[in-house]
Amino acid sequence: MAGSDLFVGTLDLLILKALTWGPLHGYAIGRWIRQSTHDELKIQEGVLYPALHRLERRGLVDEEWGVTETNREAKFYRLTTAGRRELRQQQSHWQRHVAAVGAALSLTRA
Amino acid sequence: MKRLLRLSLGVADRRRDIERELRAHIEQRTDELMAGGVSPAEARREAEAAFGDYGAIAETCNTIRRDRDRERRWRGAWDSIRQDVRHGLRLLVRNSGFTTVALLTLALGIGATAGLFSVVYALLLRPLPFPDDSRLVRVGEGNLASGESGFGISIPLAEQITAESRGLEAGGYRIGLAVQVRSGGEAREVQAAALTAGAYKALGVSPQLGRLPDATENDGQGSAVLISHGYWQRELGGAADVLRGTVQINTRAVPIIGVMPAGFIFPSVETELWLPALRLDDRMRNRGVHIVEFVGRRRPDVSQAELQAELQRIYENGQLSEPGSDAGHRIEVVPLRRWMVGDSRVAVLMLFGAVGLIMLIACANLAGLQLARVASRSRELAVRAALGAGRWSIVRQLTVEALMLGLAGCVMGALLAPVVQTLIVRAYPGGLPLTTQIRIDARVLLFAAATALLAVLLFGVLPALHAIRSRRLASLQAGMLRATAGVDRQRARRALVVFEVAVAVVLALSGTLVARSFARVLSKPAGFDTDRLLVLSISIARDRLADERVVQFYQDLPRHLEAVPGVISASAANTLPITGGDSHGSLSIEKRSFSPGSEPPASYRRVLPNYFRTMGIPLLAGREFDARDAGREPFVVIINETLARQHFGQASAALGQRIKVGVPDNEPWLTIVGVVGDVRNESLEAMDPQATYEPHPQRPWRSMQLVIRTQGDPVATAPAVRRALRALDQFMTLGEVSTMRHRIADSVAPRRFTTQLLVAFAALALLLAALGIYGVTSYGVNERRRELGIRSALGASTSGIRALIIGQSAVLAGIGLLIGIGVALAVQQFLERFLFEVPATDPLSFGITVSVLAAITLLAAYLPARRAARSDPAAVLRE
Repeated sequence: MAGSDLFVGTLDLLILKALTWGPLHGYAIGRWIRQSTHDELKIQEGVLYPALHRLERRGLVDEEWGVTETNREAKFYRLTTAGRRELRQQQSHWQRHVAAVGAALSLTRA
Repeated sequence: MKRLLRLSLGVADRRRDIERELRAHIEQRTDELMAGGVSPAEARREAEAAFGDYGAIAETCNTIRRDRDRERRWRGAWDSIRQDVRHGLRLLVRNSGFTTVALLTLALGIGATAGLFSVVYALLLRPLPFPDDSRLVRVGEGNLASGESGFGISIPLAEQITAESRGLEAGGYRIGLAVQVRSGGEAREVQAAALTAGAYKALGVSPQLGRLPDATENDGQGSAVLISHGYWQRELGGAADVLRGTVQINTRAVPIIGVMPAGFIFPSVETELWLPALRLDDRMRNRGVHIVEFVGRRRPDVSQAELQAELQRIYENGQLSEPGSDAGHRIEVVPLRRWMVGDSRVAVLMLFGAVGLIMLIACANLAGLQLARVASRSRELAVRAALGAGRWSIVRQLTVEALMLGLAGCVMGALLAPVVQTLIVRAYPGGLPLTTQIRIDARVLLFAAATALLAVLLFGVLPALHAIRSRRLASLQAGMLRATAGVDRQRARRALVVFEVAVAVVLALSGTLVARSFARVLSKPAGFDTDRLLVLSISIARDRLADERVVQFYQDLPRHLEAVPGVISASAANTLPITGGDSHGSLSIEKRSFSPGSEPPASYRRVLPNYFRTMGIPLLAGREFDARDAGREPFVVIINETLARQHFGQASAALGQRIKVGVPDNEPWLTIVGVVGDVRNESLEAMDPQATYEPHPQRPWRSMQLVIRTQGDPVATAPAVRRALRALDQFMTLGEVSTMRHRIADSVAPRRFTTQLLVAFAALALLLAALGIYGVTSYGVNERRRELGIRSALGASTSGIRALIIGQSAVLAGIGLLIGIGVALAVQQFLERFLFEVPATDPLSFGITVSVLAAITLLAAYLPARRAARSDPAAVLRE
C-alpha cells in the first residue's frame, strides 16, 4: 500500500466525510474522493476496502447490502453516531494540524 | 442492536461476502469504462488493474472481518453473562430467605469439610518430615494367642535385628523418657527420646545446626543432646551460639551438639530433646522386657511382607538360643506413619465422612428449595422460552445464579475452615498427633473450591436441567404448565427426601450404636474404689539418690504422706490401673509346663505395702506386702483372681505356689503370698487377665505413681501433699497432680469425643431431613389444594385428610429408612471398629432409630397436614 501513516488516517477521514450525505457504496465513495479532491489524490481503488472494513469493525460505520443506481447489487456503508463524533473530532484535529504546519511554513527568513 | 442480533457468518460465507463486494466494485468500474466506449475485455482488464492487488486486498479484508466476528462473539457472550449476573443478583436479593439459607449452608458445609480435610490430609497423606518416609517402619511384637499387639520389643532382639536383618537399610531403637529440665531457676518435665546410632541413620534427618552424636557420645551415658527447633527458639531465644550451650537435664549440664530442623517430629510433637543411646542396667536387657521402640528403614527393593517374614525368622532364631522368656510372639511391621497417627486416624476419617454426609443432606435440601423456586418462576421461564431464548440460556441463567452462591459460599467457607481446624485440634482429647503438619494451604483451598463446585452442581445445575426437561416449558398455559411440570418436580423432590432420610438414618444408626457402646464402657466396674483417690507421679534422679537408698526412700514414703491431714492411706505402684503402660512378660509356673506363647503374657508391676488397701482392691486370699518383703529371700508375688483360678483352680489353692514373670530361667522363683480381685489395668474396656504384683524392694524402680486416699476432696489435699514431698527431697521430679476419676475420664475421652460428635451430627442430619420432609409435604399440600378441596367437599373428614397427607410422607420416610438400614448393614464391618460389646445389628439401636425417625416424620408432616385439613374447600374451589 502506498503512502505514509498520515495518508491512511487521511483516507479514513475522507471516507467518513463522504458518508455525511447519506449511505454510499465503496465505488461511489472512491468517486467522491476523486472528485472532491480534484483528482489530486490518486489512490488504488482496492485500498478503500480494508479501510472501510476497519471502520466497520471500530463501529464507526454500518454496512448493508443494497442496489445501486445501475441496478447492480453493492454493499452500502452508513455513518453511525459514533462515526459522526469521530468525524468531528478528526476534522478539527486535521484543521489545527494544517494551521500549525502552515504557520510554521509561512515564516520567511527575516 | 442490529449489530448484536446480526448472526456472525461462517468462514465460507465471509469470503463469499467479501468477494461479492469487491467484484461489485470491479463490475461498476467496468461498466463505466464500457459506457465510455472501451471494449468489454479491455474495460475489464483496466478495471482490474486499477483496483490493485485483488488477492492481497481480499485477504486483508478477510482477516479484518474474522477478527471482528471473533470480538463480537466474545462480547456477546460476556454481555449475556453480565446480564445473567445482574438478573441473578436481583433475584437472590429479593428471595433473601433462600439466599441466606443457601449461603449459611454452603459456608458451614464447605468450612467444615475443608477444615476436616486439612486434618485428614496432614495425618494421613502429607509426607512426614523424613526423607522418603514411606519406607520407614516401626517394628513391634504381638501375641497371637491373646490377640494383643503393638508391644515394644526387647533390647537383645533389637540388637539382633540391627545386626542380622538384610531387608533393613538401617535401623535402631528408641527409649522414650521424661526428664527434668531446669532453665532460669524453673524446672519442668520434658519429653525426650534416646536413639541409637542406627535409629538416627534410619530416620535420615540431619540437624539444621550442628551434628548427630558421634561414636564417643554413643557410650550410653547421655553426654550429648540435640534440641528441637521449637526449644531453641523458645527456651534459648534462637541464640546463634546455641552449639556452645548446655541443657540442664536432671541436674547434669549436657552439651548441645545440634538443633533439629523445624517441623521435625519423632516420635511425637511433645518430644523436644534427643539423646544418644542410653545404657540400661542388665535387668532391662533381657528378652522378656519389652521396653524399646524399634524404627527402621526398609530397603527399596524389599516389600513390607518380605521384611516382616525376615524379622519373624530372626526373632525365632533368637528364641532358639535363649528360650523361655519371650516365646510364641509375632513380629509386626507397621509403616511409621500409621503407628504415629494411631487411633486418631479412624476417628478423624469417621468425622470427615459424617460431615460429608451432612453436607450431602444439606445440598439435597437446597436442591429441593431450588426446584420450588424454579416452579415459582415457571411463568418467567416460559416467557423467555417463547421469546426464543433457548433452553440453554435458561440453564445458563440458573447455573450463573448457583455459581454466584457457590462462589460466595466458597469464600466464606474458606474463611471458616481454619476455625474448624483449630476447634478439632484443640478439642481432640489427648491431642492429635503430628499437629505441626496440620495447616491450611493451597490444597485445602482447592478442596474447598471443589466442594463448592460439587454443591453447585447438585443444588444448582441438576434442578436447572430438570426444570427444562419438564415438558411443555414453552406453553404459556399457566394451569397446564403447573400441572405437568409440577408433577415432575414433586417426584424429584420426593426422591431427594428419600435420599436425605436414608443418609440421616445411616448417621442416626451409627450414632446410636456408638452411644450405646460408650455407655457400656462407662458401666464397667474398675475393680477398685475410684473415689477420692489422689494420683501423682514422682521420680528420683540417679545422682540424687544412690540405688541402695531408693528402696528405703520409698518404704518410708507412705508414713510421711499419711501424716498429712486429710490423708487416709497412701501407697504407690510403678503403673496404675486404667491408665495402662504396664510391662508384660511370659509366665512360668513351677512344676508346670505349657507350650510357649499359648498364654497371654502376664503384666507385672511393683507396689508398695498397703497398695491394695489404699486402692480398695479386695484381697481374696493370703496377705498384702509388708515390712517382711524387703527384697531378700524368699521372694514373693501377689497374683489376681483370674490367674489363680485358671492355673490353680481356686484362689486359696494358689498360695504357696511359685511362678516367674518376664525373667530368664536363671532368676529365682517367686512365691505367691496373696490373691486379689481383678482390675481393669489397661483401660476400662478389658479386664487384665493375668496380673502380678511384686513388692518394690524386689525390683526397685525410681519413678513411681503415688496413690493417696483422702478424706474429702483429693484436690484440696494436693498442696499439702506436695509440700510434704518437697520437704523430703527438694529435687524430686513431681509430675502433675490429678485424681483417679480424672484419669479415668481422660482414658475414655477419645471415645467420648467421637460419640458426642457423632450423636450431634446424627441429630443435625435428622433435623435437616425433617426440614426436607416439611418442605416437600408443605409444597405438595399447596399444589394439591384443588384436589384436597374436592375431597373435602365430597365428605372426607379432617382427620381423614390429615391421615392421607401424613401417610404419604410416612411412605417416603419408610423407603428412606429401608435404604438407610440397607446401607448400614452393608458397612457393618466398618462400624464394628468403633463399637464395644454392641453388635452392629443391635436391635435396641435399630428400634431407637426407627422410633426417632417416626417421631420426626410425624412432626414434620403434621403441620402441613393440619393446614390441608383446615382449608376451606369452597374458597379453594373458587380460585
